[in-house]
Order: sequence, then structure tokens, then C-alpha cells
Amino acid sequence: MNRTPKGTLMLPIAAALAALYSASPVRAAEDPLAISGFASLVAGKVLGGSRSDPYVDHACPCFIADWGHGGIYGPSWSAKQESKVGVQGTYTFTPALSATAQVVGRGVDGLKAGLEWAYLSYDLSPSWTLQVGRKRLPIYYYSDFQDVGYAYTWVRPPADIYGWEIVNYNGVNATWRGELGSWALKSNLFAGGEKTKDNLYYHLYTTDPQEVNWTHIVGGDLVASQGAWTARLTYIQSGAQQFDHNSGVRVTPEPDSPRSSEKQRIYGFSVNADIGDWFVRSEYSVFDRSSYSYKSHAWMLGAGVRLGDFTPMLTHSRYAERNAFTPLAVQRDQGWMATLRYELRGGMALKVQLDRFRDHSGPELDFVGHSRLLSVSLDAVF
Amino acid sequence: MSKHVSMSLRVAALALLAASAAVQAEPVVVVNAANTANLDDEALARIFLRQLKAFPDGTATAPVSQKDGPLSEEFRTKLLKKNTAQYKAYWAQQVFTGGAKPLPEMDGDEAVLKHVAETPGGIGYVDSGKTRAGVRVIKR
Repeated sequence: MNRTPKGTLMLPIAAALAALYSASPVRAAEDPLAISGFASLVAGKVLGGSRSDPYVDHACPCFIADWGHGGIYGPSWSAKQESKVGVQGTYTFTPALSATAQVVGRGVDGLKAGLEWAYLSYDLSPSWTLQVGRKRLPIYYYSDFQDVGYAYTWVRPPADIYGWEIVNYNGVNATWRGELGSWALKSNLFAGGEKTKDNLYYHLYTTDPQEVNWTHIVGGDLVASQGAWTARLTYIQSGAQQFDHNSGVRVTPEPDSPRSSEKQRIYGFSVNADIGDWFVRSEYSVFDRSSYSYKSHAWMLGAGVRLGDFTPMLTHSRYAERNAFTPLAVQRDQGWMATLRYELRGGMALKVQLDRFRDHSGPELDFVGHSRLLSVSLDAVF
Repeated sequence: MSKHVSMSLRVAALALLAASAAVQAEPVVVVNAANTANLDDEALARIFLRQLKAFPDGTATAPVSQKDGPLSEEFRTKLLKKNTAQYKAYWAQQVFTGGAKPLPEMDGDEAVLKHVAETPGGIGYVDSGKTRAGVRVIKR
């Protein structure tokens, strides 16, 4: 459903892109303020699918492309579901101390500029960095740069895995860098929380605004790299709460529960390889809310090859979820993605992607059903 | 006559070779002359990707880069194993996620040599043959 005409969205994004792109001179090394940014103009259209009646208030056949922000494509071309523009400023006070803010405007929520990142960063030593403020929650390998389409090959990371109701958090994190034998290691430990008033993810489930809070988030990851290989391990736990915004009724925990929040754990690993012109991307993740709701397993495996300015890539993903509300059914779906990326000059790339999504959940857990999506994107950094 | 043709062919070939050598940039990695570290390619690459922030003796690394061009391209492909697009994608990921800070971009070989000569942890790449006092070539 196109709530805003396409033209009104494309214009500001294109204008911002053009203005910032032409206004990014080579910055002097001494300039304490560095401005940079990224933009993605993404358009998509569902070519066909099994569902014909609307899903929540979205026209179908449809394809959910961005769970975290409620981006869903229907049978007519739309450029507002995933298009975005981000601008970041970093002010360097001393070589060790800096402040960074990043604002991202998204087509899906009417280009309201949201503060995605705002943090102070302090280098305690060559190996330790301490950061305080607002950041992206690094649930998955691509989570914290999911908005920066230029930094990966796909139009979007596989939607089967990526995207939950919380995207950011406010808190502290400490990053350590070191070496073990021939491996370069990087570990990030973080703690904090996040509250959302009108959660975008829940736009995919209901038209009633939902408040979602993740409390007492504690987590960490470890990234090891050597030569062609990069591997990442991650673990996060937190409390989870949900309220219906209009009625104020608590949804999670259930209204009569003595607990103030439910517990969840998220863990997984990722292995990437770059061997000559060939590359492999893989990720496995478990989202465990089995004490009150569901437990899901998701994985993806993709491979591609760099042929000059062209990068074709093929990816497969799967998602399976056991849900306490419908104990006899399993939500099970899978996707195939065929992507072609083409490098343009000066930090820009053009991508075309065909997604084939199969929903094998059965009638009890009917979401969007099978669908095929064609999407094109122009991604830039400046 | 055939001798003449082959002669002019040889001259042409030589001229072509010289011309291609002139555009073929050959980067060498330079460090401060007081820096006695001996590092392999992987360690050097990690310094330029800001994954390794200290030399073995504890001196903080101060890597610098140069503008896009044949020299930078050759350096990124050979040592960092990344083409320009991959290199830009790597830094986009770092910059927009609170990761490593991008390297200061120097304006040519002279500026790199000056930085390296004046900074204990300085490290950069210049076209082979360019040098100055206070600078040591760590990787050819």
C-alpha cells in the first residue's frame, strides 16, 4: 500500500544524495569535524505469490523485506519500503576522544529522521576502546551496518534471519582488539536497554501501536580473522516487555504474570571466506524465547565471485520457529536470492536482486505465503 | 629492409615498455627510521586496516593513506588484497558502526615521507625510489 506517493520520497533522497555527494571534498587530516553519509534508493515489486487477500493492511501478494522497520513490498512498484539516507558527523576532541552522531531517514516511516547512533568514544589504549551512548544492537553479523547497502553485495541481508523488533540500544560498550597466534581478534562487550513507543516491526502484525522494551541487555561478540577467513560468535540476553500503546494493556509478560519482564537469549555464529575472487557468506542464529513464546533457528549460506565490476551472488536461507501459541505447527520458510552488483565510480553501486520466498508453515501460521520479489537499488557512500 | 623493420619494431617495443613502466606504480611500505620492527604482509595489512594498533615494541601505529589512483590501487590489491570497491566497502562498514577510524589521506609521496619521518609510529606507502632521511623501507 503506497501511503505516500513515490515522487515525494525519491525527491528528498535524491536531492540529499546529490547535495552531499557534490559537497564532500577531500577532508584535511586536521579537520576535527568529519561529515560522511550513505544512501540507498531501493525499489521493489512482487512478481507473484500465493496470497491474494491483504496482509494486515498491506496489498498482496507481498514480501517482507525489512522486519526491523516494517518494510513490505506488494504487487506494484514501491521505492519507500527500504530507501534511506544517513548522515554522520564525528567530532574529534583529541586523538583518543571523539563524539559521533548518525541520523537516518527512512522511506518506510515517512523520512522522519531517526537518531540511530550517538556516542562518545574513548581509546583507553591501543587495544581498548570505551563507548557510551546510542548504538545499533549487533545481533547479527550485518546488524550494525545493515543500513549501509554499499558495504555488502545483496540489496539487503537475508530477510529470513535479519530483523527483530529492537534495532538500537542505549548503553555502554567496550571493544578489545588483539592477536592470538596468526589470528586477529576483536571482541565487543555491551550492556544497556531500549524502549520503543510505536514499534515498526509490529506494523507487520497489527495496526494497533505496540510499545516494546528490551531491558537489561547484556551481550558480547568475538570476531576472529586470518587471511581469507573471518568468523564471529555472538551472545545476547535481555528482558522483554510489550504493551498495547492505546489500551495500556501489558502483552508481555501476560497481564496476570507476576514477572515484570520475560527472558530471552540470542546466540549464533557467522563464517565468511574470501578466496581470490570467490567469497562465501554464512550465518546461523538462534532466538530463544521458549520460556514464554517461541524458539527460532535461522541460517543462510551464500557464495559469489568478483568478475571485474560485476559481482554475481547466490544465497539460500532458512527459518524455523516453534511457537508456544500454536504448539502443533512449526513456522518454516526458506528463500533463494540471486543478486548482481555492479560497481559505479566513486563509491556507488547498482544492484539487482531476485528473491524467491517459500512459506511452508501451513494454514495455522499463515503469513505472506510464497512470493517472488524483484528489487533494484542504487547504494552510495560519501 | 627486414633488418630495418625489426629494428624499428624493437625500438617501438622498448618505448612501449618504458611507457608502461612509467604508469605502472610500484608501492613500497615505509616506516620511521627508528622503527626496527620486522613484519610480515598480514601484519602490515592489519596496520593499514586499523586492526593492529601497535608495533611489537608497543609504539602506537600511525598509518596514512594516499588518494585513489594507480599507486593506491596497486597497494590495496597487492598488500590489502582488496580492490578499490572492496576497500571502500570495508571503510564504510568501519566508519558507520563506530569501528576503526579512517586513515588520514596524504597529498602525495612527499607528504607521506614527511609524516613517517616525523612520527615514531608513522607508516605509509610511496612509489618505489622515493625516499628521504629518517625513513626506512619495511616492505618492497
